[in-house]
Amino acid sequence: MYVYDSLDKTLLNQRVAEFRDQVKRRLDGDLTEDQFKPLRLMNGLYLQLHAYMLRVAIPYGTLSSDQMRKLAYIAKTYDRGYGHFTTRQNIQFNWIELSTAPDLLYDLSEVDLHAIQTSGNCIRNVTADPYAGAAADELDDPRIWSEVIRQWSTLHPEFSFLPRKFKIAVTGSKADRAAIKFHDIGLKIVRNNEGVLGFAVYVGGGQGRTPIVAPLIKSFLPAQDLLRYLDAVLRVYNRHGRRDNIYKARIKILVDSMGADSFAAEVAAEFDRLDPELLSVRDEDVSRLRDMFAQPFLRPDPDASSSLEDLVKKSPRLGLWFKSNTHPHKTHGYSIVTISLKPIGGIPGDATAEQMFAVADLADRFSLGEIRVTYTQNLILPHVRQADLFVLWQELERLNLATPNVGLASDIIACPGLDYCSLANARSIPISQRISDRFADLNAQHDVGPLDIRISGCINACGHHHAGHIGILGVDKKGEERYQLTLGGQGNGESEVGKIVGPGFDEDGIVDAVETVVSTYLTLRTKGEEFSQTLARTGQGPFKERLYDNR
Amino acid sequence: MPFILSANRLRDGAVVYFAQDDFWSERIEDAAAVPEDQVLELEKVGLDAEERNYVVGSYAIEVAAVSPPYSTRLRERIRSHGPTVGDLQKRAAVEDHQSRPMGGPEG
Amino acid sequence: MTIVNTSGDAVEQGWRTVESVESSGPHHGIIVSPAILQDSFDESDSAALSQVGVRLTVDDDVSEIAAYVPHLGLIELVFAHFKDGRPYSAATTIRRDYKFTHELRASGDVLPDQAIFLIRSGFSSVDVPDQFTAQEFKKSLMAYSVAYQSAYDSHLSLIDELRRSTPDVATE
Ligand code: SF4
Repeated sequence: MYVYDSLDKTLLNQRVAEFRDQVKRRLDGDLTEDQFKPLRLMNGLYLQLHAYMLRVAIPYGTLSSDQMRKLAYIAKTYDRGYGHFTTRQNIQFNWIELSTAPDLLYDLSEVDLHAIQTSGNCIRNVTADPYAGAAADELDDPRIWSEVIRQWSTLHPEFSFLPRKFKIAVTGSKADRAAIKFHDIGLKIVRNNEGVLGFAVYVGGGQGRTPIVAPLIKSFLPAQDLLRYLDAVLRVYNRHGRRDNIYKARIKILVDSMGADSFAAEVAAEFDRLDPELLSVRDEDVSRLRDMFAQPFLRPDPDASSSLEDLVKKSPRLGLWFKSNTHPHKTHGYSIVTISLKPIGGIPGDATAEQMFAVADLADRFSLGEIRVTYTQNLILPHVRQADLFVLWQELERLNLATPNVGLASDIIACPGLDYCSLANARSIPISQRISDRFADLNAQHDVGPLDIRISGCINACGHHHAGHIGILGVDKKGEERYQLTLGGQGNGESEVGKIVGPGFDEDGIVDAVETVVSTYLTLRTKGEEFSQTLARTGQGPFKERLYDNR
Repeated sequence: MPFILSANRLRDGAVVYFAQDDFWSERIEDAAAVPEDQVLELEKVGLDAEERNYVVGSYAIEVAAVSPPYSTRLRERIRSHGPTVGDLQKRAAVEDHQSRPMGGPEG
Repeated sequence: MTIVNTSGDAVEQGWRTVESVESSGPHHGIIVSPAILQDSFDESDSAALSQVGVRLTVDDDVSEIAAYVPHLGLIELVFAHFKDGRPYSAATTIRRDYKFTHELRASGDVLPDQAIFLIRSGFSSVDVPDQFTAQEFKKSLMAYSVAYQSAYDSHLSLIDELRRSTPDVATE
C-alpha cells in the first residue's frame, strides 16, 4: 500500500490546521455561511437533514486494517456507532458536529486518512477497481496511477473551483469493475502494439439528470503523459464548461455539445502547448509506487482445489457463499472474498463500529491487513488463502457479514435518500430493505442469478439507478413519494443507460413491480440465460405487459 | 394554516425549532406556531438568528396541526423524528404519524 | 483598497483606473479596459505600454489582445464570484502561453482562503476585497509550506522537487 512520507504528512497536517482555523472563523462569525460553505465542502463536510455529514475518502478503495480501526473509532466517538459506505468508495458519517469536526479530521490524519475534495466543484477522490493487485486479468495495478492522480489533483491551484465536481476512475483489467465510462474521465490501462503501457481515455460520462456513457477521446495515451493530458482536459473544461446552469455544468455536457472529436482536438492543442517535462510522470516515481503496491509473496497452494470441494460440502450455505462471495485470485490457492454489507432487510452499505473493528482483525488474520471498498457498497478481503476460507466464513457469519448474495437480487445499491439527504425527493433505504425482504430466500436468489438493483432518492443518481439492471428513481409528486422504474442499465463490465418502463409506482407498488419483473424474467428465460440477456432478447415489451396490463 | 420556524443549529447541525424569544428547541413540540399573516415576522426571527451565527438555513414550515405540530411533508416528519430506517422506535413514530387522519402521503 | 504581493504584504497601489485616455504622452500606470487599450495604443509601442495595465473580466478573451500582452505593465483579472475559477486558468495561460512576466493581479470576489491557489496559478498581487484584510491573506499564504504540483510561483516548495532533494523523504 501507499505509505505517506513526511511531505504527505506535512500537507495533511497543514490542511487540518487550516480547516480548524476556518471552522473557528465561522463559529466566531468572521466568515459568512456563503463563504464558509465551499470551504467546508472541500473538506467533505455537508449539512444534511439531521446534522453535518462527513464524507471520508478511501483513496481508490484501499484501506489498511489500522485505517479501518480508526474509522470504527470515529463511528463510535463522533457518530452514533455506525458508518455508511457509499457508491463512490467513500465512507460517510451521518451525525457529525461542526465544532468537533476538526478533531475528527485530526484523528483521521493519524492514519493518513482525510476528507479532502470529497465534495465541492473540484477533482474528487479517484476510484479504482477494488480487485486491484489481486485480479488475474489485470494488465497493471490501477492504484499506482490513481495515486499519481491523487497527488496531482490534491489542492490543485488551478482546478479547485471548476464549473462542477469532477470524478476520475481507473481500471487495469479487461472486466471493468470501476464503471469508468460513467465518470468525467475514465482511464483504462492498455498496451499498444509496441507493448508500451498507457491508457485509453474516456471523457464525459456521468449519471444524474443526463446519463451519458463516456465516448473514447484518446485510444492510446502513453502512461508518462498522463498528467499532461489530464491537465489539458481540465483546462479546456475550466475554460469552457458552463457556469450558468448547474444541470449543464458537468464536462459531459461540454463534450456532448462540442462533439467528442472537436473536444479531443481542443484538448490535443492544449496538450501540445504544455511543457512535457513539467508534468511528465517519471519512471523512478512509478517504480517507487510500484514497489509500494507490490503485494508480499503469496505461496501458491497446489492442494487448494481438492480441499475446496470438501469445503463446499460442509454446508449448503457455505456453498452458496463460496459461489457468490468469492472470486479467483491471480495466485493459485487464494481467493478474493467479498464481505456483504447487505444483510437481508438491512441498510445497504452500513457497518457498525463493532463490525468495522472485527473486519480489521479479520484482514490482519487472513488478508495481509488489506481491505477494499467497492462502489457497490461492500467490502473486500483481497488475498485470502483458500485453506482459511472455512474459518473466515464462520467468523463472518457470526458478524452477520456473510450473506451469500453478492451480485444477486438483495445486493442492492442504495443512496441515503430522504432519510438523511437534504436533496432527496423520496426514501431509498426503506425501499431497498423491503425488496431485500421480499427476496429473502437465498436459494431462490441464486436460482434467479446475477441481478443488479439500484435505487436513487433523487435525480442526482448517487444510487446509480441508470446503470442497474433494475433501476429505481424516487421522485416527488405533489408531496408524495413516487418511484420510477428503469430496466436495462449496465454498470458492471458493460456500460448502458437503462430506460424508463412506464408510469411510476408508490412505495408498495414499486416493491411489487420489482417482483413482477423478476417473475416475468423467470418465465421468459431460456436455459442459462441471465436477466440482462433475457431483457436484451425480448426487449421491455413482455415486462411492460405484466407490469401495467391488469391495472 | 399555521406555520412554525425551523433551521439547523450552526454548531452541531441539529434540527431546531424556534420556541420563544432567543430559545430554539430540538423538540418540534416546543415550536411556536403563528398564523399565516405573521409568517414574514417569523422568517425575520430566523434571519436574525442566522445573522447572529446561531442557526443556518432557517425557513417556515406550514403545519396541519399545532399540538404537537404536524407537517404533511414526509421530509419534515423525518427531520423531526429521525430516519425511518433501522431504529425501530423512530420508525414506529413516523409510521404512526403517517396513519393519522390528517393525511400524510397515505391519508 | 489594499494590494498585497506574493508574500501577503501590503504594497503601494501604484496604478489607477481611467475611463478614457486623453493624450499619448507618458501615462504612469493606468489601468484600462481592453477596448480602450486597442483604441488608444499601438501594439508595438512597448515603452508606452509598459505604463499601461488592462483589466479583464471572466468573459474577456485574452487572445483578442494577444499582441499587446508581452508589453503590458500589468494585467488584472476580475473574479466575478469566488466560486468561478476561470481566472485561474486564464492566469496559467497568460504566464505560460504569452510569457507575461509583469504584474498579474487578482481582483473582485476573492477569499483569503484562496490566496495560495492565486499565487501558485501565477498571480503576483491581489486587490484585497473590503471585508477582508491584508493580514488574513498573509495568514492564509502561510498555511502551507508544501504542495504536490509544480506551479508558476516556485517560492513555495514543490513537493516533487523536495522529494528528490530531501534524503529523509526518499528513504522514509
Ligand atoms: S441521489 Fe439524491 S437523494 Fe440520493 S444521496 Fe444523491 S442527492 Fe441524496
